[in-house]
Amino acid sequence: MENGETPMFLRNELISCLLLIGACCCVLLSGCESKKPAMPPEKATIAISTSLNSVLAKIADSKGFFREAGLDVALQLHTSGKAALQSLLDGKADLATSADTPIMFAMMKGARLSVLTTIQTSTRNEAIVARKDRGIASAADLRGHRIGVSLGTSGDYFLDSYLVLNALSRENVVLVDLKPEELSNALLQGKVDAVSSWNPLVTNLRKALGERGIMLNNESAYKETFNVVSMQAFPLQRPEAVRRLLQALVKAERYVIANPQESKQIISEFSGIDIASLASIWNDFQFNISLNQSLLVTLEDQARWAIKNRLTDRRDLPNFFETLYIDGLMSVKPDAVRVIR
Amino acid sequence: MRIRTRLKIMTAASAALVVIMALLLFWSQHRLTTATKANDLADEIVSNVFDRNTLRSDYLRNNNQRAKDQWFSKQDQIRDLLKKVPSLFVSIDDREIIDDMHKNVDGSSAVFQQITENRNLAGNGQRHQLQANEIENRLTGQLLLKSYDTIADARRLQEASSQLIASTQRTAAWVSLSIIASLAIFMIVVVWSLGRIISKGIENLRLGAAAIGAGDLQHMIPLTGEDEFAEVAGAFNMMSANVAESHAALEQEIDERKSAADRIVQLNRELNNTVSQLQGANQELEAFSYSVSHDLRAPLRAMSGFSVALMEDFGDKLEVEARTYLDEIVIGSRHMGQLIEGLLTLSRSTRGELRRDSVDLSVMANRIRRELEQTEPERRVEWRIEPGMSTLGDERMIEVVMRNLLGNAWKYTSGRAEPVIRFYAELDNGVYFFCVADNGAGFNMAHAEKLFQAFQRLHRQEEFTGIGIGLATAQRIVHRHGGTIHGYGEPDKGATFKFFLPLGEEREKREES
Repeated sequence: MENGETPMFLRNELISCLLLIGACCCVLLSGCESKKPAMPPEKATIAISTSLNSVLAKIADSKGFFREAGLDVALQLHTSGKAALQSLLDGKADLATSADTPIMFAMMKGARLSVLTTIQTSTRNEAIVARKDRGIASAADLRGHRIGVSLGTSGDYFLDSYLVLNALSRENVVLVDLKPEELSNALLQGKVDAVSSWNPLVTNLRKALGERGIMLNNESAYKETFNVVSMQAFPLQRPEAVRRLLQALVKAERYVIANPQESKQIISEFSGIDIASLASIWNDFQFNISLNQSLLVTLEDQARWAIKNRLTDRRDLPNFFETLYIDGLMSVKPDAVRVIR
Repeated sequence: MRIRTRLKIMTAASAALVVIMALLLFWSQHRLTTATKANDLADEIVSNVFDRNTLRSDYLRNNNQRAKDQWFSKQDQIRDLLKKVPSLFVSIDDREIIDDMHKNVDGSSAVFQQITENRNLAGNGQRHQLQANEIENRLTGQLLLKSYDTIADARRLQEASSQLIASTQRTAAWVSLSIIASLAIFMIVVVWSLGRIISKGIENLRLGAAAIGAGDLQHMIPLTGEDEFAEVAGAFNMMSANVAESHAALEQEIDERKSAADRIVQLNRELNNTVSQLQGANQELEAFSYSVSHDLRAPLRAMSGFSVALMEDFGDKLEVEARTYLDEIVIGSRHMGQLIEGLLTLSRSTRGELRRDSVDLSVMANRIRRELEQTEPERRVEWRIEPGMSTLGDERMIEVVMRNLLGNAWKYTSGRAEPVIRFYAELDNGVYFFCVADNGAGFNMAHAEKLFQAFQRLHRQEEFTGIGIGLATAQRIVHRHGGTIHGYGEPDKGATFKFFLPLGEEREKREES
């Protein structure tokens, strides 16, 4: 290439070469190209709790992953998963995010639900915040004290397990059934001596009480799972909507793993918890899409617990396996399905 | 670009692609090895968790220390395996799973520990059995779900490694295919391109060669590019230009030679004319000379005869002076007669048909020797005549040559005390020369050119008589035979005359020409 110029014939050869290679690559890659949704967006209303459990759903909505997946989603906000689930049961939402305990209770009452996926797990989300000034310094001190709890929620089940593991029982304490949004004031105003709930409420309460407060937890007591549920008819009638929903959630899962700071920022604004507090508890959560065998164990354990403590009228265990809608996640992220079949 | 450079580039590109493929294969192999190890590790974790579950069941059923210890030992093994996991699983997703597994394993230990403590408390009576049962029920539930989760996570790692194996194989296959396709395309393009360049170059050269072959020496092959063909075309064009130039020069030279040849023909023609004229003049001159010589003999004879008659008839009446005058007339007439005789001999040597006789020179020499000895019987001369010498030629003329040469030797050795005359043959440069040598008066070689000129003499008449025409006659005869004759001498040392006569065909050819 004298004079620093590419000779014409060499240019021609290079162009021919590149065109041929390009054409070849196009042919080779044509089989790998993913198909984009061509169908119109499906509408869906999702009832979610404003707690940290619904991170993936909120991220999927904020980052437009639902839209990209071909889903026109309307988020319906609730203070708890139980309330969100109730919205689903009332027919006000197509889907809901909820912890295992409300799902178990709903099914024990005969609700025909489908669990589409687990979106979060944690052994540290639930905790008891107690007032030291009411004489509570350890688990054993709970005996005889008034404990605020939203019955039928994961806070309820955690409290029960925590008491049992500490050689106590529900009968040894005074349970005060409160709505999740009522718990903070009840504790701060002294209406109760302790509350059993979940984040960010417990962290905020612990912070608000300062030296007067204590947080009690036992990771062996309970592993919370937060799930996306629908009525059983929904995935059968709208399997494509379920597939798109799961696609968006998987995308959100990857986003949260890859962008933890941005994710925290979004959730901080959404849940009202300051970013520092959020960061301190962020790692207590696993925001993973999955359907695990352990969910069945949890639901059955809770069902046995509910029956034993006569928290439900039902005396036998429903088949929770039938509750799991496996096909949806299998079509989107098969390795996330770990249910023994 | 030069074809050699193109070939080098092609070779380098091919080599680079081969190296890339080799690196890719190496990379694939490395990834496959890592993924296989990871797969095996995940498998081992699953296997260990199952073992641990069996031990858990064993312990819960039998409450034995051995099963408890084995459970914790198995737990340690699972932890050790988990420590190896991060080096084999590096993706963010995998890290999440690994974190979860650590939490589950640690959680399992805590739960199992609480189960054993609960049992101890119940066993010691510190905890009510029903309460302990409820606690264990809750804890075993948690332990079970953690086992499920651990197995689920290990299975995910297993699948991740399986996917890595599959994706590596798929990637390697696609990339290899792409590289091979690229290499093939590259080779096809380059070979096609080279083929086009070569065929075009050869076609240009062929057309150029054909045009030049057809006589168009001004034809120039178009110079395109900077490859070897352009160089060959350039050299070809230079060659054809040189050929054209040489051709023009050659044509000019041919014209000049043609003119020169015409000129030579013209000159030859003129020369032939001149030669013819000269031959005619010569013949006329010789005829005239012969005629004059011949015709002069009669009046000379009359003049000499009448002078003798005048002396015989009226000698006594004439005065002494008158008789002296008459004697001078007689002597002059005799000398003139000799001159005329010589001239006639000279003339005869160039006239008449040349015969081809077999001549025995030795015999001839001996005969002449005897004749000479008879003319002067008192002289004693040593003759050395080599026997057996013979040649082909006109015998009468050759005898004239021999008489002249031997006669001269006889004459010029007259003053020698021990005169020697030799006649012999001598090989000189492949040619046989007949030589007549004597030790007589000899001559100065500085005047050798006069030897064979008529009427030229190197000695005074008073020393040696003669008319100076013998050697000229001998030379003419030898020349007529196509031969040569040379004379060598030194004053008072003698002289040698060498002549040769071409024999056979050569002589005949010369005769014909």
